[in-house]
Amino acid sequence: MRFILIFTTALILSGCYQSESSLKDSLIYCPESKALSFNPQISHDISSLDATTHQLYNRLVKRDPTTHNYVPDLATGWLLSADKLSYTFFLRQNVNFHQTDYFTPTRHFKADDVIFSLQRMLDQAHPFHSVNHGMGYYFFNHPFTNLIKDIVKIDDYTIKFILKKPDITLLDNLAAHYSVILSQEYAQQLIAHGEPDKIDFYPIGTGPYKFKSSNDAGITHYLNHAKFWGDKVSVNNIIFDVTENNTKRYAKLLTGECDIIANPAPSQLKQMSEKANILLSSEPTANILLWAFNSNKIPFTEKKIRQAFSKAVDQNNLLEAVFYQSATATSTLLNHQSWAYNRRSTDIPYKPQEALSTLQEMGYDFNKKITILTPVKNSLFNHSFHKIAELIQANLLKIGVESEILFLTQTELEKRLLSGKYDTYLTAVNGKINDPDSIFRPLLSCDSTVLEGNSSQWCSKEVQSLLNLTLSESNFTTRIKNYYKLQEIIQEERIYFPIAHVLRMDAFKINISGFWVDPFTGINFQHVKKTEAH
Amino acid sequence: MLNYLFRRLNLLLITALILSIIAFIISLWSNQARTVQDVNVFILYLDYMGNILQGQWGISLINQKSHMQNGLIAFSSTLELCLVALLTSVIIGIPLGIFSGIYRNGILDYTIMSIALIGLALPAFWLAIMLIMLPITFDMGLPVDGNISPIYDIPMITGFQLIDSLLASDLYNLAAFVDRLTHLILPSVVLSFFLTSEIIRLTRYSISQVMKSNYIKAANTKGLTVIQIVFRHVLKNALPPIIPQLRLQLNTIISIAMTVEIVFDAQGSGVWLLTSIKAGDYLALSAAVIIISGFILLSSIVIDILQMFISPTTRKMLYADK
Amino acid sequence: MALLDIRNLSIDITTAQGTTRVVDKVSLHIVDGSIHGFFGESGSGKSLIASAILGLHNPNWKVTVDRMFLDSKDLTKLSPSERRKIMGKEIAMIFQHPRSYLDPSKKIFPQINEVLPDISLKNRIFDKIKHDRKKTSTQQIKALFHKVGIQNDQAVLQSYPHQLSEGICQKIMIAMAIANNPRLIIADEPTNAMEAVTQAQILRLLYKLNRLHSTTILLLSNNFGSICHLSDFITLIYCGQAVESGSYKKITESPMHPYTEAMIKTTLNFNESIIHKSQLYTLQGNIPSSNQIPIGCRLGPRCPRAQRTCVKNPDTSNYKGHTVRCHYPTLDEKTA
Repeated sequence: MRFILIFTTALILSGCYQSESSLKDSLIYCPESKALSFNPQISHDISSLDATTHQLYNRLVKRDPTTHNYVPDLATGWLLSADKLSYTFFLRQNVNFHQTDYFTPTRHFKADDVIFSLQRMLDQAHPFHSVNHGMGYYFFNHPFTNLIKDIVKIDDYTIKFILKKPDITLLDNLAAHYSVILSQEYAQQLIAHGEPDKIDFYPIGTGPYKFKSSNDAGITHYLNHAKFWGDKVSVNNIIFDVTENNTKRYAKLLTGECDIIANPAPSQLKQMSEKANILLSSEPTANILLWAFNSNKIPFTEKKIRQAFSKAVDQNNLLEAVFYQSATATSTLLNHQSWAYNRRSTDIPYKPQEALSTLQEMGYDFNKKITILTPVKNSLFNHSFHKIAELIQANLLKIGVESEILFLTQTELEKRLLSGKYDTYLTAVNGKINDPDSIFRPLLSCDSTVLEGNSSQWCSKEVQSLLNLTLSESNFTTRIKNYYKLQEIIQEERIYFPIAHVLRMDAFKINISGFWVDPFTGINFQHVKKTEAH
Repeated sequence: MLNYLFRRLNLLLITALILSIIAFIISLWSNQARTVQDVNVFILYLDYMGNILQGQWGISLINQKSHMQNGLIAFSSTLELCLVALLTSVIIGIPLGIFSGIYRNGILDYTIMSIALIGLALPAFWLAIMLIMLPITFDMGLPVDGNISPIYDIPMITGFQLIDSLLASDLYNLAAFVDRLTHLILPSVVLSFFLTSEIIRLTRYSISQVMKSNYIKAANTKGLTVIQIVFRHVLKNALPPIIPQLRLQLNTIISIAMTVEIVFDAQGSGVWLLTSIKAGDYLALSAAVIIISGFILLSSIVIDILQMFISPTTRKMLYADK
Repeated sequence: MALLDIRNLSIDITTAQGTTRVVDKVSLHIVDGSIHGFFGESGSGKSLIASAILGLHNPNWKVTVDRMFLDSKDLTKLSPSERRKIMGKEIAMIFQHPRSYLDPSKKIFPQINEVLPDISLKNRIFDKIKHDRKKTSTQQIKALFHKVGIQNDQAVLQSYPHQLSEGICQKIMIAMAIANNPRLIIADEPTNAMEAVTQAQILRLLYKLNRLHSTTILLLSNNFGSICHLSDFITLIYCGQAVESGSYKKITESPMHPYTEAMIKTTLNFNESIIHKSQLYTLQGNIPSSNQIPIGCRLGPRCPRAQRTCVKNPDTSNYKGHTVRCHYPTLDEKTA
């Protein structure tokens, strides 16, 4: 009897309950984790990128999502000098910075802002260089430090970049997520008040949305930037509501508490695809799930053994079991959309018999236990390292190889990796920009340390020279040819066993349209439209 | 009457003293406490009490506001949940308990008691998690997360969001209030499972006791019908003793409310304490002890005074003690 | 003529130990306008009989009776609602420990108001024209209180039961009982909880009611001495069996049953001189507990005249209105 009463009351109330997202003025997006900061210069995780890159800021150039060409953003045009050592950029005029309750701009965007933003990463003497630096790592200055010698202001709306050596990746880097343009006026105000940290937590940019509030529960509120220089947005409020539990996220999508959710669990995908009012968007990412062999430790010093182990793992089965449809099988380190992807690379076959015979041939010691290092914490795109490790273990057991899975926390992992006392390591790697160098270099370069990504401890002259050559090569065809060669070497040597490219999936209600997801730079709400809910 | 109040206050003070010692001990664990080895513990305690009475309870590590502010806001959210659940439970539980008590050991009694037993047996957090699955399995559109939709930006006036959303009606009409209410539905359903069972049990016992009493027999001899007897004599005698019994359950109710809040991620004291503990902010525990136990003590007194007004026999106690 | 005629009332109670016959074929014959004293020690079943008459017994009990007639109405054949009507209007009951029979959460005024007879439509219209309804109720109540002997009615009406003494509470109960002018008042040990002065007051009140309004009173008591002088007719009951029944004169002058004789002997008669520190007279033995009830005549084990035939249940013998249930009654020359 009590049930009936409660149900009826609930039903009646839910009738007059105006589902939140039916209010067209606001869009609620539910990511999985909190943004670490509001400045992509120092935070590179996908949650921070989602929150900031396209919403709050603009860059000098950006990539067109369909043609993949560079289009003007805050720069209206650019020229490359004849000696390929300097670029001249012409800046857009009448661009307004955000006006919030903590800052009111008194001038338009001009060259000083560009210099300020980029010098923050380059110049060690810059007053903001060390602010909040504890959060940044590889990308804080890496791409630019080796690239740019100087930035020169020609006039208020013209800037010249002088490069250290001819390098064609400048545009790529300027279109990347970390090359956002901050407001120098705001920075000066902060220094005057003695609060420089706020630059990354109370952001000011030129983007279509401005920061309104963020509370520690993970709810961030953005308002429409009325004086935005570009196309007007149609949704006035964007709200980020962080929900870590993926069942809850899915439930919130169904009740209307979220309009778009990020990363639905693979097990929910089937049910979602059957619902008429929920759509799924999937984008290939540069995320690779891979199994690294420690090439410094016996037995993995031998190429044949590495190949044998690769043949012993049933890749398709693994993908079926763990990812359902949210990942694509891969046999190379690059994702298939990359321009350097070698279409002729061979797939890795599943041939346990061959693997076994190779191992026996090479005199492999079957009494030895192979260690598989596995992170305890699952990363954003990989929800179950545990399961994957166990499946690999089972596969190895079939050919008679015993293995031991070690679940380690981040600190323990780092210690172990540094010490070199491990056989294999299960990990996932995220590409940051579309340049293949940014994937290969951390994984294969002799200069790259274990923690930076070279968990296979690989160092070979051939690979190194190829990497360096290609970086400075300006001829595009030669670049492609070099990368193809690189990939062939990688296939041959089997340094890593790439398992899958994980897709980034977002689920959203049928009345939302117009947002696009860039796998490298995050989600973009500038053109999102919300129609009336049914 | 004043004498009685004074004596109750004495009891209150002693209990409050013991609780403050507990809160003090907890605060010693906190990292924020100064590490003093040679200062006397008593002086530290007096220091601590001085701070508490002045309202300086320390600053939270998480969001840089004072613990007192955080705690009071969080606790008022929990209180809202408890009150709404109490209201629904009373509306449903008391009539059922009355039926149960009057027709004791009949079929109606057995069915009602079995249902009530289920309510007592189900663990709250399990039920809460099951209810979160409601939208997924049954397509019910009730909100499962948070206090109120993030769309509504309600200025904090009293800390009770139900009242605040009414006060902010110029911004959102009644939409914010309705939204808050619907967010309260699922959590209070979970809480009221337990509360309704308790209320049914207590009402049934009380009413069956009253039905056995002499004056009901006399009422029977006067020739009154069952309905007349129930409404005129039974209710007024049976219901007041339930209130102090419920007061004994108050801490269980608050604990269950906190658990439910954690599952539903409502911004109440459950979530506040959990995040504080995870962040290593143990002074929040201290503040929580003071707030929650202070609330329970206060409500004890209020209920006692209420008892005095409602039930004449307890009034007799006042005079007798003179 | 008989107001209440009960023939062979038996009550069986089923407990975990088995079924016991707590009341064994009791017959009661109450004459209209008399005071009928019903004497039995504690646990003899008097209250059970009283509740059986009113139909207030526990539904688990099995009540069998040959006849139960109130005047000419057969009480066993009434529906519950008719039974209820009778209870309010024709039979009233007052109890031991009167304070517990009043609702502790209400003042006296609403409780008395409940039992007042409904004011007829005509009077109500008159009230509206002349004065308000409450006044008429108050006047009625005042008259009632005056009848029962409560002086300061206003103070009493505004008090709660726990503020009044047992004596006043009993008077209020009597007032409530007589509000509707019942034909029979069943008084279940009304004076047990009081001191002697109040006892005398209450008993005098009952006597006055009987004489002035010819209300029949069935007075249950465990004190033989007190009811003795008040009653017109006396019935004695021992352990669920009615042992003797007759008019006052016959019972006190020529008791037939050994139990009656014992009871008369136990009443202290201060006319005779009693030796200092002498043992007072009682029957030997104890009242049997409900799971050890003797077969046949239940006084058997204690009776000074008991013999082998007493294991058989004795039949009722009637000697011109003086009934006795014994195998060896004391018969004097006149009745023999």
